[in-house]
Amino acid sequence: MSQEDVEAAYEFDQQAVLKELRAILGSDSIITDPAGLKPYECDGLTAIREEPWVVVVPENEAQVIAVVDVCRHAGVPLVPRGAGTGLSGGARPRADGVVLSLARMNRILEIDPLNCTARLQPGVRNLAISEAVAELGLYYAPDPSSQIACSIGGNVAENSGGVHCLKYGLTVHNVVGLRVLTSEGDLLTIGGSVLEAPGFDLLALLCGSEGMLGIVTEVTVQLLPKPPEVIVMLGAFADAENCGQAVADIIGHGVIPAGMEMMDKLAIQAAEQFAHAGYPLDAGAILLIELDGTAEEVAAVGETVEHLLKRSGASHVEIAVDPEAQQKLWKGRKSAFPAVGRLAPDYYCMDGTIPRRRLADVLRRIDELSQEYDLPVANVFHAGDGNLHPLILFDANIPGQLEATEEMGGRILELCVQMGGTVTGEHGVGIEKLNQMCVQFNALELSQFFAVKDAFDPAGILNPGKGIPTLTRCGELGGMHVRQGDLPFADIERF
Amino acid sequence: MSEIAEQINAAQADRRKVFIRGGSSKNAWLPSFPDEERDADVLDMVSSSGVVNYQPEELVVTALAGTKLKEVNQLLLDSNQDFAFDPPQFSDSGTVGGLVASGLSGPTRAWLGSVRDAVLGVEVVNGRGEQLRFGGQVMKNVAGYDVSRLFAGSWGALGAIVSVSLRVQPAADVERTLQFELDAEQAVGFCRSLARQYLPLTGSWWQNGQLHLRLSGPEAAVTAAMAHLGGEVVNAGVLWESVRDHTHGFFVKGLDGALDDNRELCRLVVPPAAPVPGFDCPFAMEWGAGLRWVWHDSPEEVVAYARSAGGWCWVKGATIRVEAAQQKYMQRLKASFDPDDLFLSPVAGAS
Repeated sequence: MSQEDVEAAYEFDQQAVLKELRAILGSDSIITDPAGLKPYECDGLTAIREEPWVVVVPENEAQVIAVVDVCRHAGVPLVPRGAGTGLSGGARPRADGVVLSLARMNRILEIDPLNCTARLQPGVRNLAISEAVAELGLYYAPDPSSQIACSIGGNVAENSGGVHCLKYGLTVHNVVGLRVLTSEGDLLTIGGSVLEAPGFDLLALLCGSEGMLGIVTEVTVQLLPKPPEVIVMLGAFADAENCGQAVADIIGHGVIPAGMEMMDKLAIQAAEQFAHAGYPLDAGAILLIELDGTAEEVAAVGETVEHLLKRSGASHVEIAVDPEAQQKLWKGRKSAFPAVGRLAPDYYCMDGTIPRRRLADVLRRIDELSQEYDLPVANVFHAGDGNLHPLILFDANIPGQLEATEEMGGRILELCVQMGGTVTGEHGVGIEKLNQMCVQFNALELSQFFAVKDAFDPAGILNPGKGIPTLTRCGELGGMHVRQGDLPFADIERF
Repeated sequence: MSEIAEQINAAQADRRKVFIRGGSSKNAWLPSFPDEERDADVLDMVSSSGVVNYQPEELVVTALAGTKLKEVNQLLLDSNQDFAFDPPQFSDSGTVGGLVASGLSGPTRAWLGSVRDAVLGVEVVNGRGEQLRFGGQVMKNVAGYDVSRLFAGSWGALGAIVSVSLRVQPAADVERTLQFELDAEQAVGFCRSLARQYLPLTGSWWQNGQLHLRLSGPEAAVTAAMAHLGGEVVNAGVLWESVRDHTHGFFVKGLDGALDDNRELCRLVVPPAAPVPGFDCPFAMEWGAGLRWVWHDSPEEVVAYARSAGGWCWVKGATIRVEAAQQKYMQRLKASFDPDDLFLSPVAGAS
């Protein structure tokens, strides 16, 4: 299938396919009525909706294999779906396709305390893993903010991060084995309870592939020993510049905090009103720092960090030692999105990553854009790893505001690319950031992505139209990739 | 970079194979390619060298592929940083491109991550002579397929790495080594019990009834761990470097490693709790028992053991073998980057 075909409609004999699917699945595992389809219209990116043709909810791997067989033979597009908490529309369904929900495959298959791994079905919730192994003193490190609901299969598809990934890495750093079903029906067992697998690193390639290369039917994760001590510190600053300097100083000093989160003035005010975390309302920016380790380590490093915060101009430093006080400080940050959501009828969350040293420049530019478009922006920032979440406040009921917001968001992401960063740090491209991909990658790079896709899914039935924009799409866009003076997409006609 | 593309295009036009060569420090690990492929064009990456960007507080270094690993290590050390994966230096000629292409991690692997884990971005030239950039210089990046990490351990099969951005870490304040008298099975059990405890472990080496553990990190953490673990505090000297760089006697053919000249060095990656094999031959373990080394005169037996234990084995100087179902997709992946099959590589089925 050519890459240009993915946005075209798929044609197949719907009655015949439905009959075959019914033969595989129990009646409660196949959804066709409008009321039942409704919850599957979108994922966490609720602005983009589509009613799927059919939803299937298999109970085991054998059923997944059978469903994929049917879809392959009939040429039916498949949209794999975990918990549906993704923020970029990766699980946005198609009117001419099947949504393959893995939510019911939610069993923990094996906990291996000797190898410190857990073998899981894809629908196991992220938080349920840590809960299940807590009695062994172990946990699963990546903790996306949706961890109470999101599934491990979805985490693999999006290569999810979380607030602790500067120290503990993303999903790709914490998964050691996968079982993956390709659209051709091959079941690949990659890795296992081992630290390396032979040949090309398919595991790394599949992490973050947004369900476009294969369907994950089993995941083996690495479990880590829980650090015995944790402290949380808050530093308040007059402005974002000083706050950014503190981040550089701490890392430059050889400290890798377990978490390091920054919030700007608008985000602080919103969070404080919402969560009453005790944040200083007069601060221009705050930094939340979590340190973990042995008691001795945390005490020694905590002293260093306190000194560095003050040296960078922190007007106020607070240290939370007991879990309640820590939770209170974190609560403000963790509720920042809903808190900001109360300031306006709608908000749009961006997900760019930038080199940390560019933070002050980027925030200044975002402020200028905010004034140009007359749309307020609150910024929360995974400061340790440079992942910025500007939240643009708008009202979709005011004509033109959604479009203005999307345009402004696009410009923020283009800014991130210009600064040496990326259009998405952890939310994925899905359907939302296809246009910005044209800014980050040139035609040859996009073609290489499509060639990789073809290697796994030559029929093009897995999550078509997501993740990678077609050259035609990029060619039709105004703002396009320009690198070293090359004219991008010179070989494509424009009208 | 365009010179590299020109050489690849020239080889493509004349249907000649291409051998991408860095510092040749890992040549002993490569299989001997068939005669007709021996006169392949050599793509010499060493001339393209230099650190492009290094900002210590960003925890990232970007270097051209031909940059000597030794030079980069020194540069990092000057800022009190290093690579978490502690890459082997089988000779002083090793390059940054070679370390990524080989994907070989050192003794810290089990605790601090692999080469692949540290790869943030690459610039490459594929078999069509196309110059491509994937990933970047930032820690988190999920834009497009993670092609940059795919190049780690690809052994040249997919294309030439022109430059690479790697994550770095603050160097440890202190390092101590503890020694325990344990047989192999006891050592496996001990290492596995340690894996459930929060400890600043960064290395384990078992051989000949002795287990050495390396602790490194903040002084407070290391001191507390020493008090907790017991064992004998020893001056490790060059132990960890020699294990990493295979200058340790165990790895040297003809020394205590392999008196029998017919023995071959087998590298086994197995679940760390896997039972100790019953081979009557030189045996050693790293990575909390997840990486094991055997000198054996019939490597097939070792391959079978590794497989039965849920792992795999690479015999030094042989092809890296992959199970059939995966090989199909690896061949297709190879073809997606290198449709004319120009690049020689020891990855099974890649050529």
